[in-house]
Amino acid sequence: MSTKRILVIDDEKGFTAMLKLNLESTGKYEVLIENDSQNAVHTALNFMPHLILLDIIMPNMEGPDVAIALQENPLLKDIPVVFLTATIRSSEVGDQGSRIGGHFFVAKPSSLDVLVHSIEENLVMLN
Amino acid sequence: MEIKLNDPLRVLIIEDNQVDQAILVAMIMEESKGRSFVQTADTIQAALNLLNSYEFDVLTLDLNLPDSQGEKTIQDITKKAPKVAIVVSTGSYEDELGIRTLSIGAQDFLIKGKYNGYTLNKALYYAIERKRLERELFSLCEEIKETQNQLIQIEKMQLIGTLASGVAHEVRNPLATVLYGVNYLYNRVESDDASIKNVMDSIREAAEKANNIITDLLDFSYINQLNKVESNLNDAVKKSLSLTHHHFQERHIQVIEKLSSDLPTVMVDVNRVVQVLVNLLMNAVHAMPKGGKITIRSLRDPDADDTVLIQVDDEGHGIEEKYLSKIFDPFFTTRRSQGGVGLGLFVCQNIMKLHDGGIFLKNRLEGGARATLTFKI
Repeated sequence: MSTKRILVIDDEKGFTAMLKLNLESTGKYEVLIENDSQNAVHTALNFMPHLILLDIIMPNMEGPDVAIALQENPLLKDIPVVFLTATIRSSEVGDQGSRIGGHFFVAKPSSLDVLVHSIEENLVMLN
Repeated sequence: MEIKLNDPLRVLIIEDNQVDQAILVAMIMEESKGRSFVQTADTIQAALNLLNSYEFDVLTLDLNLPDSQGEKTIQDITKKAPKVAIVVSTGSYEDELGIRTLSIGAQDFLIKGKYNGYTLNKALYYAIERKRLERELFSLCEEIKETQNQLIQIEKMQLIGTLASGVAHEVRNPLATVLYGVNYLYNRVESDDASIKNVMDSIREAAEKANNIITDLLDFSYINQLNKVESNLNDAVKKSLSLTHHHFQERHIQVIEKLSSDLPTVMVDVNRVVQVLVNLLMNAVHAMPKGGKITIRSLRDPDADDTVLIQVDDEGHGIEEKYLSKIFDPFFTTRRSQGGVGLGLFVCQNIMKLHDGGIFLKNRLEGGARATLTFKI
């Protein structure tokens, strides 16, 4: 099975570095990090990920605005986006993440299992 | 009950001088043509006993009783009978004392020998009316205090919500880094040294504990259960308006209430509905920086007999078409730079869902936005 490309858009450098190490150690993913949300569309066009993990509260350009920009690009609009947020409770999004207003949300921090489950579920939906 | 001039009175005369006592009784009975109910007491103790047994509208009080003197007498009586008007009866040399008694609970003072039946009776009626107005003022004051407390409570909850979200974001990110870091090391570090695993366990436990504290804080600021009672939604509307009216004054906003007078009652948590309405009203205020008009309505849904509606209309800038579908999303805000967190309408929607009700926002053809709340009867 070929690895899936995951783009992480999040301004927290320490967190994204750990996330990349953990996700890549599963052997299922190739992870690219973008810490500057203003470069999100450009980076996504170069990398063409299978899925995007998107932080919500970021300086310069916030997650929801990034999502709109991605959606407006015909080459990127079908890539599933999973929001990662530290401001929501696990119990609100459920243990396996949940869909709010058409988007998938995962609480930060969630266990790696929950995160991988959410990624896989959204990749399946894409297929 | 309001007492009108010439209504018979219930009077307690507290006076140890038998002559003065007899004069007072005679004057009151004569003026009321014998219709008033009059009791007399020689001592404060006897007066307190009578106050236990009967209801009085007004009492006359001599401040030099065998068992109580001066201002303390008024304080004792006021404590015992807070609703009864007090007219102090003083000697002619006690003018200053008389005036002082007004500030500690008496409604009037009379100087012995300087009044007749007519002026005494007038004084009694005026004292009763003054007492009634004083009590009205007092209860209004209490109401304002109560409203102020509720406002402080709501603002506190909003502040906690904002703080909790802010703290959650700032603290959870580094926690996530720690947890994912430890997780990675767990799978990678192979060592026979048991202390290495202990250190990693301790780091993970500490980070999880800190995360639980943040979760508790967020739980506290969110709402997940209601205290429903049968209520008239007009009361919630009025309460929310009283909590926000100073913002309307500041922004020169006029509020028009169109509340149905025969609104069916519904089962709601009034405080939560007030919270939703305050949110909608404040959104309307923010949408009209240059002032304007807010119309708030309560009505039975013309299209659904089992539903009650509350509508809040403003004359502001309305909602941009592209945002209409996102407006209830958590963390969506157009006012981030002004400190908006984007949880207001999300929480409102949660509250309405808990009520099995609905919340809808749309732009009005004539300009501005309309927020509609629906409640099942």
